[in-house]
Amino acid sequence: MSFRPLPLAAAALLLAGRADVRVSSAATPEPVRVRASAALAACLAPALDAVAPAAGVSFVLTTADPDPPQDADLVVGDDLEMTRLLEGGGAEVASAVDLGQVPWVTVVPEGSPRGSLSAFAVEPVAVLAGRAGREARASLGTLAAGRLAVTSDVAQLRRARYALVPRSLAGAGEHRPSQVRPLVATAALIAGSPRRAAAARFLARLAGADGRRALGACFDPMPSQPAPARAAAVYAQSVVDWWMPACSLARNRYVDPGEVRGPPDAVNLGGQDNYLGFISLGQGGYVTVDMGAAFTDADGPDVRVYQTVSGAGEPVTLYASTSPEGPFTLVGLRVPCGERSPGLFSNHCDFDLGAGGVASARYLKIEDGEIYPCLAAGSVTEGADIDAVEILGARN
Amino acid sequence: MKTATPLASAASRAVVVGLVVFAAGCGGANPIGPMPSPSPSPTAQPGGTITGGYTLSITPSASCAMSRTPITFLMMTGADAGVTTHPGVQFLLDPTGTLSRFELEAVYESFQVHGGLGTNEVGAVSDQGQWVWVRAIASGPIVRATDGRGTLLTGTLAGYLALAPVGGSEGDLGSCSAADHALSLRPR
Repeated sequence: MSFRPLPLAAAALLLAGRADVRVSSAATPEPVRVRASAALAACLAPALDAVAPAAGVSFVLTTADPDPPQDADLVVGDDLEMTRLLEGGGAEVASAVDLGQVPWVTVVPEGSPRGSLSAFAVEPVAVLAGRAGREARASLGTLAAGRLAVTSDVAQLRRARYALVPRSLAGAGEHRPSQVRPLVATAALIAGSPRRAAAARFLARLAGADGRRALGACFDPMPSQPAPARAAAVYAQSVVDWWMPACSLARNRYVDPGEVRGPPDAVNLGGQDNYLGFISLGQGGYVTVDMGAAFTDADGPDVRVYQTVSGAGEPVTLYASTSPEGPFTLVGLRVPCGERSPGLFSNHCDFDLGAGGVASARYLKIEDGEIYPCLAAGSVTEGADIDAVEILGARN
Repeated sequence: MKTATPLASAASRAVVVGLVVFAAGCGGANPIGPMPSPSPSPTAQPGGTITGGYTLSITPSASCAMSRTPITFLMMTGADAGVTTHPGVQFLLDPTGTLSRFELEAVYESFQVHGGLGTNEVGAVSDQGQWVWVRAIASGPIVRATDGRGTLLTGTLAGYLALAPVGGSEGDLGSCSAADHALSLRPR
């Protein structure tokens, strides 16, 4: 067997990588250790300063990937960074709170032409490395590798004349809105932290009015969506097929496909891995449901999938058919399923039948899009966790 | 090992599930060095037994601005494939387990495979020495090779693919999400 060195990302993952450490001025013998990813730490620092006195804590802020948390008591990261930490029990799901979001922007010199960066960027396009930058990098898939500068160096990102970065890391130049999903700053307490009480107090202040006021200078508020009209809602009526690998079936705890029927009802009963109301699909598993009647492609999204367990936006793939036997047509491939659903424990993601060229459907196949290796999983909720499926469009 | 049979109903599925034969294990270390690869039979009969060592090959989609040189891995079928509601197959890059994990879990029936191919955060090293990250849906028809084993010649891989040189970061050599990366699984 030959030895092959780990890539930087892997080394960072395993060794915590380079971490910028900032200590609050009122240091005490037991400061709360806060760990936040680069794009979010820049926004957090002034807010932490603002609420620390009222919380009666001092703190150390480390700018690094929140997973693994190392000695942190409190972590702040985007959905993609927090998924495995929350689902694996490293952080407490019940403590998770969304602090706000940071949109992505394309940075170009003032007066640059409109259109794709690939058409006019005359220098490499800087893009954020790590898990938080994965969707952004994929969105630049048509840009040749030699024209990309993948980095987690904040100074390099801010210096770049051409960049695709979270707004908090954007340097000089024109900032254009990007279609990349905004980073969602989710904070959570680390399970078993020796300074849990102080960290919880700190987090409560940060998520409170004073904290949000301080964060508001940098984070956008989470979008508030109206709750669906329950009286008119149509949910999956029955399960016609499902599958998950034996590996996942043996490891996952929530494996009843019947949980997908009906309205979203997933709940956290408290404590670690103590839930009701969903199925964890495992690596590449799926569940196929009968919506009870055919429905047609309407304006806007037609189907909402409720996906749960944490602030995680585990991706979901959706197929549609008019027959339980198929053929099933792909409607959405690995769509991040972490849009917040006010009033519900589950998040959601929406699909438009028209995107797959589907005019009408009755049967929907919902497939895991996280596709994390089963044998590497450290969670009993591996894979997308499906709570419910709802028709949003017009019924026949 | 797994053998696919056409399935028309739940009843026939149950019969087929009963016929599926399980391997006791994956049977030792990967072979060292190149081995002759059984060819598909000229008539390309559908089906075949999926067991043993395979070369998994990924060719990035033409829509991706990354090298289209095939990326290959020596994969082994695993012992944990099993039958749940449908018969499945499991392929592993390293059955003994390391920090790096690369795993395919798929349904194999009606002469088709369909399932999830994924790496963990660490990624996996290809035969070409690149680091590769995959989160994608693998699918395609299985045909019988000359040694009776099933082979996937014209599969597709739909999802995320990222490359890096040794010492690089995920995506240094490109990242791309596409529904039409090419995939093959050839016995070796």
